[in-house]
Amino acid sequence: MPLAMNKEVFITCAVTGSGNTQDRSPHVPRSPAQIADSAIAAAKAGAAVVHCHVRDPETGVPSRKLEYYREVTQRIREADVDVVLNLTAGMGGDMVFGPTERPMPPVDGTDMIGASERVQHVAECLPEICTLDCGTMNFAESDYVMTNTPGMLTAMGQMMTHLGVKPEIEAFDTGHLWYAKQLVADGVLEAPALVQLCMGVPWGAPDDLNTFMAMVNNVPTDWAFSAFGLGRNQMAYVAAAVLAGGNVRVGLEDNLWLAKGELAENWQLVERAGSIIENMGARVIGPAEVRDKLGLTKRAPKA
Amino acid sequence: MSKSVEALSSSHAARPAYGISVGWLCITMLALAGCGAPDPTATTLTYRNPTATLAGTTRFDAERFTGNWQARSCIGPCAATTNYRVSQTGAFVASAAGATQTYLVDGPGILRAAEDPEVLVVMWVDDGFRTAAIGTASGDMAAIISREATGGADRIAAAREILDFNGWDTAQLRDVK
Repeated sequence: MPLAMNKEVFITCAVTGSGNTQDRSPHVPRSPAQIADSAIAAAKAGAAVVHCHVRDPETGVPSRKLEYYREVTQRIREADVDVVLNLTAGMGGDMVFGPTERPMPPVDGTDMIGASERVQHVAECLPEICTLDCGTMNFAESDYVMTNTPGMLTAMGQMMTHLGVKPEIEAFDTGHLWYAKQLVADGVLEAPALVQLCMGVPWGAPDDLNTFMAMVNNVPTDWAFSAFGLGRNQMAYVAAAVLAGGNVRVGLEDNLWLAKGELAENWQLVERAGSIIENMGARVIGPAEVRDKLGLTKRAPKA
Repeated sequence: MSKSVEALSSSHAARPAYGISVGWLCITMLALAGCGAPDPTATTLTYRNPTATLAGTTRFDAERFTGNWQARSCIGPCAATTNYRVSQTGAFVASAAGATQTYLVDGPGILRAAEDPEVLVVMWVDDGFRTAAIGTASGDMAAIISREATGGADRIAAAREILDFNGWDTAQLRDVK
């Protein structure tokens, strides 16, 4: 069988994330202005899509304040560069259990809200894309569990479809992809879907190529997919994703380093990813082509 | 006015005071070690008298300091050309010879490396931000840097005096071509 690499690749820049990375690199943007500036610079470096979380401007602690999302959206929409906006909808499903002999009640760090509240900023900011973390998973942070039950995913998925915002299915493990297919089969999500294969996020799917290809092979052929590897393998995964027929994601949400001892900025990671893609003989496509391929609509946020 | 970073360099207090050439000191220490393997207890050499105050200039302005600088003369290792820029989050980034170093501006002229214990001190810059005297708190590198590769002899001389005032062994300065 001939190699079926992707020749028209879009780059998503995951600008800041909601990990505790804000104190590990001064380049992790915190304020809405910094997040927007970093996203805009990433777009100018070749990112067709920017995936944004928001943080408290002072502490850098991950936040889900509506006003921060609105400011980020407004600044990006007013920029002199076009880019597809992808907002997280992953906040508000965080459960941190108590000690193993007394797991209930949940302890500090728990942040559980309803489906409507989890997509409220999406309804107001109207990005082209928002994420849908497609399952519940242990993370490598004490006894933190990212919760996304089938009922929650159905409710959130329906809201996203109703809003006309394309869900990007975040598949951290094989079962998440399985359930995404079920959501499409149930009519909650529209086909063809968009999926992000999130590799090497402890304790989801590891980033070895066997696991990666198992995920890739289970993405329906008419769906679009992108992939990233967490941490040091981020750039290697640019090549892996393109070779496997997908698109790529880089950015400070997933990796802080440009090289050993060199802290990266988002635009640098995007620039390097673009160089890898072009040196593989593929073309980096822009936001207009991405909207066309994925059937996205650019809209102004609600006033 | 300047902000002292003496506290930052206090960990080097056990280092020998400068005033004796580094080459001479090396030879002496090797002789003491019996010409065998390096003595692991030997004191690390620096190019600066740690008892002198090392101070950042209050004139430092990160935005005005950005751009390309040529090293005119150096003590210790230095790159011929360094580019400084302010990142989107306000960090100060130095790029030289294909590598970058990220600093946090701790105070006027005091740049703390984000990923290692190094502190870079901008001891002096002229009011036009054309020539500067910089050095590390560890005492292993200092440089006179300029926007131009030639000229500005009066500013170069001033920078040299600043290095001397901050305790650097200016006899170790070498021209960078």
